[in-house]
Amino acid sequence: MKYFMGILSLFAFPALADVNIVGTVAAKCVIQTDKSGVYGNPIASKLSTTPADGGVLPVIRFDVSIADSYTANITHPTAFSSSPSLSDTLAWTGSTSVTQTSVAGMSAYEAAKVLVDNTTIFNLTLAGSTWFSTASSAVYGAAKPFPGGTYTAVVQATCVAK
Amino acid sequence: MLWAFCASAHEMTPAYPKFKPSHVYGVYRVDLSLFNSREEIAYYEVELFDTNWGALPFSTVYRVFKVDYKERKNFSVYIREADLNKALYVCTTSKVKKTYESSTLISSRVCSRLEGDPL
Amino acid sequence: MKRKLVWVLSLALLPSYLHSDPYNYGTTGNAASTALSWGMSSVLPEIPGVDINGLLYKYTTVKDPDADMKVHIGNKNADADGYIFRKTDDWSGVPGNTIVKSFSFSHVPAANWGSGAIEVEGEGTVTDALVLYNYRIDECFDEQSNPACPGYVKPIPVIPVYDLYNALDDDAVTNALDTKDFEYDEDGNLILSEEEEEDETRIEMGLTASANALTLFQAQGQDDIILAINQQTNIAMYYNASINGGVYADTVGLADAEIADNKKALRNNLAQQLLHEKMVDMQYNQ
Repeated sequence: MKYFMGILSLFAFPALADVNIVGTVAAKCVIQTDKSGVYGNPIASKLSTTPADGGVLPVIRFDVSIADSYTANITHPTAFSSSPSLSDTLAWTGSTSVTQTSVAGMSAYEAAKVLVDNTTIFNLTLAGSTWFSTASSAVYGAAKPFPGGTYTAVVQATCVAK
Repeated sequence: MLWAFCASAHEMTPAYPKFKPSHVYGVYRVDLSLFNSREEIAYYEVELFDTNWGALPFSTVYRVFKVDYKERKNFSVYIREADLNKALYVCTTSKVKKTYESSTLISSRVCSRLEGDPL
Repeated sequence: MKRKLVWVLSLALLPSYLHSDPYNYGTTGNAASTALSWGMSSVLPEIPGVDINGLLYKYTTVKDPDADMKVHIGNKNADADGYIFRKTDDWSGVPGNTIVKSFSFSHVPAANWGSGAIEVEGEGTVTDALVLYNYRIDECFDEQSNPACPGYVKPIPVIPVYDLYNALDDDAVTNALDTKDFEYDEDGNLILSEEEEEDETRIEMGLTASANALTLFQAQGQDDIILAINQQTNIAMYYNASINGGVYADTVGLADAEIADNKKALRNNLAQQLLHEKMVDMQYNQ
């Protein structure tokens, strides 16, 4: 018998075990800059990102993995971050709107958006991707021509966990 | 898939980080991870806000740290116990570089919400 | 040992084309460029070995925010009823906007994909529709198309088979040989019966007569031709022509005379004369 057990012990029996693969899905927000905007100069006293004015609208994409976990807060500029020396006032206008979605129901974001000062708040109630575009324009003084130089303004895109 | 959307992204996880006790008495920390796929951005700033978006004091190794393109960086934010009830959002904000074109620059900010009792 | 090493290395460095990826990938144009329905034959390449591994669609809806509207995007099943792909976007109660979606598939053969369409249900319209298919082409779908494909069998040339004709096996030939219609003598000449000989003689005479007739006719015709030619010429005129003869005498004559010595060459002539005489005297030893 002991010889039999010894012989058995020489055989390699396969080790059997169940291996569980565990994963979790957590809320995640990714901000992608699809397009940086460009200011057009349709008239000497105006800078604008509107395509009709020769500009390019900045486009920002928000990707959320779990529905109703984030809000998208997009702030259009009210001042130049860098510019030549300006002696007169600037009149700023701006707006942000939904331009493209990955889910049909996201088009409701546009109607439900909230404007607080120069920040537009969208409640991201659906998971998926949403594209926002921001229009921005600045008029110098009372139709005063802008001095020559480079003008830069910053659009702040924030994804805030609820 | 052959089609790929513009992969210029700023991502920070987790969305709801938990406080953990740190090695210093009376100081708690949260661990976060930042992924940068914005080729034009190399630096990010860490910020801590309360409910009214007021800045709160905190400590990190670097307030503004360098994250290269396609790099992921893990960092910790240390918060005083006294500020635990007030701190609500910890955010990372991209630092845009000055350009020589008249343009709008997009500064991205991702905020995680601090909630729940500390572990 | 070295030989084995070289052999192993050569196997390891075997040209990679034997194991290379035989797939090519591509993306179609906009299937919905002209209409909201399309046939896959006008979208995909018309070659074997095509399968679809992705789809992207994008469109803009124009509608009243309160109106109910659904948009269905799909492809019918080519082999059976139903759809091989179908998605529905519910725009009911929301304003119109632009939507973009993409999907991945596990290499579904193109033959299974029927016609595609964007269908609108409810109130509203679809504009700026874009539908793209991502496909893969298997170059080794037909293994014999490329020697590099696995499973390629080198074709064996077909050897043509010829049917050899043996005249002796042909009944028509043997039947003809068996007949005793023709007999030959020792010299190999055909032996004809009396009737055949008479027939042959009559035939010969007939042919000869006709040949003679033609010859006689030709001779008669020739004489007429020659006579006609002769009438055109008068050869006798040449024979009757006379030419005046005579003798042409020499006009130049040379009279015999003595040739005088050249006075300018007297000295030379005297020397030659003396030499001549000397030579003659030498003969007589004087």
